[in-house]
Amino acid sequence: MSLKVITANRLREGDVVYLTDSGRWSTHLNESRTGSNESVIEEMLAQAGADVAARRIVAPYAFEVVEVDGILQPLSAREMIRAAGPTVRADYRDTASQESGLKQTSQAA
Amino acid sequence: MPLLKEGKVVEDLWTPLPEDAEPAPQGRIIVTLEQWQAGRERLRGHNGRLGLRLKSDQSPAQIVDDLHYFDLIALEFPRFGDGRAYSYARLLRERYSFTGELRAVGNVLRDQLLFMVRCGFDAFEVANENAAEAWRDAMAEISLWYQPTGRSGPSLGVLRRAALPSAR
Amino acid sequence: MYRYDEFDLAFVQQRVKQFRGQVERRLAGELSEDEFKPLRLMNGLYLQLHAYMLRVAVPYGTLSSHQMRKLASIARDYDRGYGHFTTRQNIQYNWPQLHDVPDILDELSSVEMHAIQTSGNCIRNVTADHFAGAAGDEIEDPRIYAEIIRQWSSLHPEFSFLPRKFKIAITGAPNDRAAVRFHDIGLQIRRNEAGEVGFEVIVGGGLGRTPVIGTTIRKFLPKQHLLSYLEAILRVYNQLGRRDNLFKARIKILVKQTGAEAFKDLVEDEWLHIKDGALTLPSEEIAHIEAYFAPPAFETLEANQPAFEARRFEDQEFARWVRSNVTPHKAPGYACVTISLKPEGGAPGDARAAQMEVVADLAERLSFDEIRVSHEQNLVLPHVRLSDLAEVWETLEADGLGTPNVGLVSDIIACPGLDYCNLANARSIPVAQRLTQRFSDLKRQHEIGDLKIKISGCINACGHHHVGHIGILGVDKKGEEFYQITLGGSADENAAVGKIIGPAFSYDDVVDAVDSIVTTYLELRRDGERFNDTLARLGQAPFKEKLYAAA
Ligand code: SF4
Repeated sequence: MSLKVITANRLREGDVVYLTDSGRWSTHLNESRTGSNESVIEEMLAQAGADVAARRIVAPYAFEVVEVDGILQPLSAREMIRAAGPTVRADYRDTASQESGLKQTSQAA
Repeated sequence: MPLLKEGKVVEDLWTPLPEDAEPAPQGRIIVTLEQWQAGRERLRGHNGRLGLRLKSDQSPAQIVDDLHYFDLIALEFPRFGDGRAYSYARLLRERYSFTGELRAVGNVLRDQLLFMVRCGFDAFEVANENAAEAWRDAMAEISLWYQPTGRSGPSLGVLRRAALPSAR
Repeated sequence: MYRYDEFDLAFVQQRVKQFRGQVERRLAGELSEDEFKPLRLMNGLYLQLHAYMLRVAVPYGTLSSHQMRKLASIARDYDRGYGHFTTRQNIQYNWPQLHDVPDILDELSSVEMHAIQTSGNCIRNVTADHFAGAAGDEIEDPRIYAEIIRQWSSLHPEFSFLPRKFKIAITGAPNDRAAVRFHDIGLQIRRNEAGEVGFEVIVGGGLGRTPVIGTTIRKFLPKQHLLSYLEAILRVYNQLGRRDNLFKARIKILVKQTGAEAFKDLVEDEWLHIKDGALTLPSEEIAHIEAYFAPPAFETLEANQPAFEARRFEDQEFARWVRSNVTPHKAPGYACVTISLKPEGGAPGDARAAQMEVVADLAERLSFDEIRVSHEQNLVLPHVRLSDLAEVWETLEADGLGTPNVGLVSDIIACPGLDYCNLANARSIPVAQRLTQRFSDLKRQHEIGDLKIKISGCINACGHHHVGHIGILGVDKKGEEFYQITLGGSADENAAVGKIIGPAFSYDDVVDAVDSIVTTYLELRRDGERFNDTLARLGQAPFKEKLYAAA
């Protein structure tokens, strides 16, 4: 089965976060806990559900990643952009933890 | 579920008519539109007051000629977002001159109470433990309205006209 | 322009306080996300791809310099230094934090602004012609009625939980700059044979999944009945609109399924009951609102301004900007200036805080303190003296706001797309950015002339792709971004929905594809012919041939 991680947004701030091995939420995709079978993912989602109830996060869900040379990379364009920030301007990216892998548009002026 | 009227939690004196209740119980009963349509003749002779419960796809327009049999009409809100009953309520109050109790039932949240009052509801089944407190807070939130609606006092249009300098 | 009176102000302040309470209850756990979501949406707050997004209403696209400065300071203090002007004449902030939002709303209320009803299934911010009050072809200023509708629809107790969102647009001129045939209700101000002013009422238009050109259900509605007629339409829709299927819930589907004639009958029946009731607008009330929109004190000027003409003659760059970005004004010696938010390589509709301030200063000094947001995602200084144009241009140029491309191929409408939007299939902004780079040669742009490209990142069509002369729609093919191209759409009085030309293009190929279409047009057009006319004359075939032969 494929590799998945759990993402959500911080309730108060709205930041994109990922569930880590220690059970905390990190803004860095690469610190995510990965799950490769249903029961692990279920368990991770259950923990996310508890953190929703505890008002830490909102809107958790799982998505697929691949590991390349020790770096986690999302499969879909959507999750790449979500992890790295908008691709439209270098100066808009600030929570970027890694290259999105998508082509950037250079910003004139 | 607590019943709110005039900002207070009150005892609900009404009971829904159970399916196949033979003979019909005494006192105040609430019937569904289906029960009414199936047993209209018999129910008309009911010894006690009658209420009618309408689902959100059952417009009171269907039953205008029978409205005078009812002292209560309960309109269902199956979901927060299903807003049909707001229109039904205004029609009942403003067009069909229904003066009995107009009760909001179903998914009735604190944050909708103001809208409901403005459309003519005067009784609310709310799932809130602190219903009376929630009511008080909700009612205090907005006191000014732009639209004239049936039962809710003057709107800004009217207020403005009153407040405007006559020099114009 | 409209100024809040004590009632408006009290209303908005109560509303902010109410939302502050709701946010507190959410953060304290008294409200679940499911319960909170419809409440935050009613205050324009979304949870988007990266963060919360706050959409602030700019009623009928009109702003004062004071308000624009506040928008700039909010961008700086609570966001990342920029805002995005939308196709609905609103502004969106992409990075606000939930706990800050009540403070942002407080700041907005201090300049008579709010975020009420910028989302959710209610009557949204009413849009109007961005040249209202300045255009020479106007019968009456549509903002008078837009403001009346704004008031009537604010927290309407009956219509806050409609089957789906509801958009109203109004124009006062026969040249439709407000796309009234593509709204749930479109109002066109008309004069009847007796010379009275009223409205043509159009319903059931819209873009999205099922693009529909609206139908006229009433040729002439006298002014005083405006609100009762709208209430009748909304009441029919609230009761009969579909609630079982999100994609079939807009009024356009109800009108189609009922039949336009039968729908009209339902509305007219309902209207007869309420026609002369409490919603009838007394002429004093109209006059009261109208007074707010009284034309500014224009000076009596010569239509011909020698200094301006001389500059235009001597300075080619200035002349080029005047040609594309300046439009005639009803008052002699004045003009409307459109400020392009589409610089080469930029994100369409984005403005940095400092740029907003530059525009605010110009408006205050040289445009009677008025600014407009256009649905084409540009800003407008509606009342500039011809003799001030050079100064305006130089100031704009200095801050990256002088791009002379309004109405041209690089004046692209693009929705936020996959860079920001939770619903997107594909990115829009980077496609627009690459297109503006491809067509960067201004001389060529002016040669091509009036050509509208519109890009949406998904079928919701926020980028209005259906009505672009060239429309681009992002689709998802197995997780990859692809783009479908449509030709021949139009949002103005010649309303038309574009037709798909063929198989979709990849992210890499879409720019070449557009270039091929434009090149084919240039080869085939006859003197002065516009894109849609060439297309109508020759059909899609020649475009298609070139397009897919190359691939
Ligand atoms: S068209 Fe789609 S992608 Fe673009 S803003 Fe609208 S919903 Fe988002």
